[in-house]
Amino acid sequence: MFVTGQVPTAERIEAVSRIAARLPDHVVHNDLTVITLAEAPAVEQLP
Amino acid sequence: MIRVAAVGDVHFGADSAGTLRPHLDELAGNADLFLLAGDLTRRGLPEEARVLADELVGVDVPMFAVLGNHDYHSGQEDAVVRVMEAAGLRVLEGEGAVVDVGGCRVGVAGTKGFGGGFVGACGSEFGEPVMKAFIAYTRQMADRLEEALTGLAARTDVRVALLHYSPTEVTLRGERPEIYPFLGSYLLGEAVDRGGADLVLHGHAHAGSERGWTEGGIEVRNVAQPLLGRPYNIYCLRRPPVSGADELLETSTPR
Repeated sequence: MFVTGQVPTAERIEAVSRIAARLPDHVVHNDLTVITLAEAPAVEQLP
Repeated sequence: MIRVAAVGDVHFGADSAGTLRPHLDELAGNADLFLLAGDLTRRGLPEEARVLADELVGVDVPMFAVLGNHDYHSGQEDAVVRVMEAAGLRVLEGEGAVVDVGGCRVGVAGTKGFGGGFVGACGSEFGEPVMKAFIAYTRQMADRLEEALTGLAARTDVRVALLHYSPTEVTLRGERPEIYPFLGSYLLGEAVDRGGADLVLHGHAHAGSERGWTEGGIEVRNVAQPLLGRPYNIYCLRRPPVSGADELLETSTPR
C-alpha cells in the first residue's frame, strides 16, 4: 500500500504509518511529505 | 551574477494546487532561470503534471527540469513530459540547452540519473542480467550527461548539471547509508568531473544534506524541497569575464 500526499507535520506522517501498519497482509510505503514551507527562498553566493 | 532558482521533489498531486504558485510571483525579479530536479509528480500521472503546469503559468524566466523516479511510476513519463513542455518547462534527458542571460550564455545539461552507489559500496556490471542492466542503465545516463556537458563547453560561459539522483554521497548524509545505492551513483559524479560544470543540482534525498561537492571539487546542491523547507533556493554564480575583453582593451589602447 502506497500512502502519498502532503501533511502539515512529521508527527502526522508517523501517525499514518502506525495506523496503516495495522492492516494485515499489506506492505506499507509511506510517501507522505510535510507541506510547511518558509515564505522566502534562501540565497547562496557560490564561490 | 547568474541567479539560478532550483527545487526538486515537489511531488505534485491533485491537492497541490496553489501550494507553489504564491511563491513564484517574485521569481522573475529574483532569479534568471528556474530548474526543477525531478519528482515533479507523485505517481507520474499526466493529471498530476497538469496541476504543476498550471502553477507555472506566467513564470517569466527560462524553465528546465529532469524527471525523477516518481515521474516514471505509472509508465506515462512521455505524457508527463508533454504536459510540462506545453507549459513552457523544457524537460532534459541526456541533453543540454543554452539560454542567454544578459549576454552570458548559460548551459544546462540534464538527466534523471540513477542509482548504483559510491566507491567502496557500489554495484557493478557483473553477475545476473538484471544486475548488469541496473548499472548499465546508470552508466548510460552518466555517459550522456558527460556528452551533454562537453558539448556545452565551447558555447557557454556557465554550465549547470541538473539531476534527480545524486552524484555524490556528501549530499546524502542524513539518509540511512544502507540506501545510498538507491539514491545516486559515483558514475554521475565522474561524468560531471570529466564533462565540467560550475554547479550540480539534484534532488531525491529528502533527508540528506544541502551542500556537497564531487570528487573533482565541483559544487553540488541537494535541492529536494522537503530538505530545503522552502519553495526553492537561489544559487548565485559569478559571471565569467567577457571573453576577448583583454584583447579588445589591448587593441583599443593608443600606441
